Formats: sequence, C-alpha cells, structure tokens
Amino acid sequence: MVHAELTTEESGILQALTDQFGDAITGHEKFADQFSIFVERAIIFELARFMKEEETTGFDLLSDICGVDWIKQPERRFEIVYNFYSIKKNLRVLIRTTIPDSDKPSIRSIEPVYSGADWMEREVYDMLGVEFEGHPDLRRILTPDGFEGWPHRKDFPLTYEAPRFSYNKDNPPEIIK
Amino acid sequence: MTTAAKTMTLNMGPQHPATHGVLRVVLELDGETVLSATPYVGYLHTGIEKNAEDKLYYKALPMTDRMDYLAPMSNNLGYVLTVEKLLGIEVPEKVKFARVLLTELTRLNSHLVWLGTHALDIGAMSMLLYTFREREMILGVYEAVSGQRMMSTYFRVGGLAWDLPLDFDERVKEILKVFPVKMHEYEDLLSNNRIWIKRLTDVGNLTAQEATDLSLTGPLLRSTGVKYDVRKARPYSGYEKFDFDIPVGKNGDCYDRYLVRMEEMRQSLRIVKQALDGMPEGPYKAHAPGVVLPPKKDVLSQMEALIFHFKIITEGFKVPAGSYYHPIESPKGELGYYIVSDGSTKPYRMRVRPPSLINLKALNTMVTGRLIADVITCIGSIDIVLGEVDR
Repeated sequence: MVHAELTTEESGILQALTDQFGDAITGHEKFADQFSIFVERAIIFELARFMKEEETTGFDLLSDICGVDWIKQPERRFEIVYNFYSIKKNLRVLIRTTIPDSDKPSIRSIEPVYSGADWMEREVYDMLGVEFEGHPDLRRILTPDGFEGWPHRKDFPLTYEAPRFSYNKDNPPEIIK
Repeated sequence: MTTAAKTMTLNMGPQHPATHGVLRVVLELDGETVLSATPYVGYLHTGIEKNAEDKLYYKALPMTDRMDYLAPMSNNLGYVLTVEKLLGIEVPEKVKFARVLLTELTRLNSHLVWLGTHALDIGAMSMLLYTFREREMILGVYEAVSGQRMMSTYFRVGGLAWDLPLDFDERVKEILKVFPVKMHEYEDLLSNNRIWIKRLTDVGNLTAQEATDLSLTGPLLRSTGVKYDVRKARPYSGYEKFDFDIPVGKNGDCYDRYLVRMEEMRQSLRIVKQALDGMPEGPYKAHAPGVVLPPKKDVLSQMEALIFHFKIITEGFKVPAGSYYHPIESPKGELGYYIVSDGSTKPYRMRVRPPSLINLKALNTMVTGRLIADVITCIGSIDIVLGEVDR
C-alpha cells in the first residue's frame, strides 16, 4: 500500500474537523490519492452538517454511503463509509465510522442534511441491517416484502433456496433454509 | 373543501412499456395533477455485490456487464481501474487509448437508446428506428473486438482481452463518417419540432441546489448548470490527453437534458477521433507476472510462463489489503466502485455506486404538481437502466 503526503486542502479539512470535534476524530489515512478520515459514530450528524454548511469545508455533494461487514471484529463490526465530494474544490473525502455488533446496530441518519442520503441509507439498512435513527421512511428497498435476513452480512449464506414471491403482504414468502 | 376525498392512487408498472424495465411508480393523483410519486424498485435485484464476494477477481468482472447493459464497457472500465489501483499496475498507452475509445462509443450507444426510447415515449415513433439503425454499427464494433454484441467483457485487469481486430480502424472511421450526418437528421426531426418542444420545455425542472442535494450526477446535474464531469474533475485512463468540452444547460428541464446529451454525443465523437488518430503501437496488456496472463507464445515455450498461466486461472491473483473508491463518468452519471480487499484472491466487499438508482430519487421532485403525462417524459429524461438500479 502506498502512503502519500496530504495536500494542503486535505490537511486544512482535517485541521478544521479536529478543531471542531476534537477527540471524536480518531485518525486518517491516505492511500494513493484517496483521503479517509476515521470518526466516532456519535458525531456523524453534526459532522455531516459541518461538512455541508461551513465555509472551510463546503462538501455539497454526498456521493455515496456504503456498509462493510467485518464479522471477525465484533467491537467494530459494521463499517459505514460516507463519500463526500466538493464540486467547487474538486476534493473527495471518505468519512469512515464503525458500529459494534449488537441485536440492533444503529447510527444517526444524515437524511435531514443531505436529502440524497435517503435511498443510500435505505439500501445499507436493507443489505446490512443497520438502522438509521431519524430517517423518515426506513423501509427495505431492493429485497421483496417480507424478506428476512440481511444479505450483505458475512454470515448470510450465498445459496439459500430462492424465495417464493407472493403478492400477498399478509402472507409473506417463507424462506427455506 | 377537502382534497382527501378527491385524490386517487394509481399504480404504474412494473409491466409498463414506458418505465424502461420493471419499475413501479405509485402515483397520488388529484384529477390529472400528480401530488406525489413513489418509485418502488428491486424487481431485478440479483445480488451482484454479494455474488462478487465469492468470486475470484477476474470472475467477478463479467457480472459488471449485466448491471448497465446499455453501457457494458463503462462498467468494466470502472471495475478494472479500481482493481488496478489496488494492485498498483500501470497499463500501456495503447490500452488507455483503446479503453477511452471504446467507452466513448459506449456513451454513444447508451445515449442513442435513450434518445430513441425517450422520443418513442413522447410519440415520435420513427426516432427509435433511426437510432437503433445507427446503434448497429457500434454493436458491430463490440462484436469485432470481443465476439459479443452486448455483454462484451473486453477489458481485463491489466489490459485488454486480446489485441484490437484488423478491421477496427475501418469500422470506427465509418462511424466517424456517418454519425455527424445522422446527428443532424435527429436534430432536424426533434430540436425545432413543436410537439417535442412543448412536451419537454419547462417539464421536470430542477435547480442546481436541488440537484446537488439529491446527489444527482451526469447529464441530470449538468443540465442545471453545474459543471461536474469526472472525466475533467479527476481524469482517469488518460482522459487528460484529450481535448473535449463539457456541455451544461441552464434551466434544468427535460429540453436542456436533451440538448446536453446531444452535445455530449458530439463531444464523444471528437474524443473517438482523437483516440483513433493517436492510437499508439505497443502491447495490449501490462507486464505483471502473476496477475496478467502471459502471452500465449511464451506459455507454449517457457516453463515459468506456463506456471503463471496455470496459477492465475486456477487460484486467481492476490490483491494487497486495502480499500479504494474509483469513480468514472458513465453515460448515466458518476459510476463508482468501492472495493475492499483483505489480501486474498476474492474481493472482501464490492460496492457499486449506481448512478441510475440515485438519479431516480429525483423523480418525485420533478413530477410533483405536474400532469400525469409528464411522468413519462421525466422517467425518460432521467435515463435509467433497471439492471443497474437493482443490481
């Protein structure tokens, strides 16, 4: 892995975030031309607002939200990667945070700040089972009604028997193990 | 007076010819006015991201074609560039030029299908026949390079599958000769057509602020006047060497999106011409033992090459641990691959940022308060491919 130096703009962003949030910024990484900042999950909503509205940051486009399941590390099992992009500065920053394993993993929704986050969060919820608190309409998006299980978790087997589709919501399809 | 008694819920799709696939939209109507539109997606969900986690890196590649099946080369390009970045491989100049040329032809292919189907939805039936006639030439190029007309899978990690065919130059020159004339014909039929203008102007308006808030990219964002194109913002595969412009619109309505895409097709032709003229000689794949298959003549004569060939096919190649997000400008918008590697021969996680899915979110904003006939126009002008929306 190639570790490169931070550019002036990138260290400026890191400095602004550290000034604002202090210890909640837990580290950063530069791989090739990709700049990531690791943060505590508690601040994610405030951070999204700061990223969008402050003059020093100005990330107007939320490019993507994605979830990774690190099943072998229960204390940081679900990694959520927020991909912020600033059109004006032409700068991309990945904000990465982790959620420990539990029955009901959850994180604050940033939908009130970036409305584009709506479907991205629904997809992470659908695939990984991470709940987004404060999301106005948290439903499954890609899997059929009544689907059980979280497909992108590593303990979800790749070869279930195909679910039987039904148009009857009250009598949802049964997944045969 | 309460409006609650008068509203009607209308289910549009999933089997509706104008939804471009299996998209279901639930419309809340007051007379003919749309109060809200809620898209329901997922009918084509096949779990491509999950499947990729169980496949060797080179075996996950053909699945990417099946997402946006109108732009297979763009999908391949995003994937191979991300894996190459994780591996730290630099590909020869010829590969870069060939990739740029073919992905720009892909943009033409995708935009032609968009133009034909969009016009068909609105009632200009003959456009579809004309655009599909010209699209044949591009599919002919796909067939010549890869043997397949749609699911080409011509790019490989570290280069191309094999060298460009002998009649490649001739075929591309033919496209460069025919297309500018045909583009004029399309614009003669549409640009000043009164029905076309009435159906598209001031329909589905978006402001720049709305577009960026909704994370829109591609022609949808550029039609609102925001000049963001990944090819210029963060050039990949040698795009910095080509001379082209980024067309932007002003009003952010369906007509501006039409103009932006038409101009993009012209710019693509410019890039194709430059890539063909400047195509360097050289190898069609990188020299990276253990990752890229060695040339066949070495496999037949050298022990080491034979071993590498055998090991790559049976075991795959290892990718150093790390994660990388690589965006490219696909015909629909910013197509990004986020690949996490744990140092093994299979991707630990492959996330695709699907431009179609994220752009489709804008439908509600575009059609609220407009007539039901405009819903069809707006779906057409977002330019979705349901294979990519659902993956």
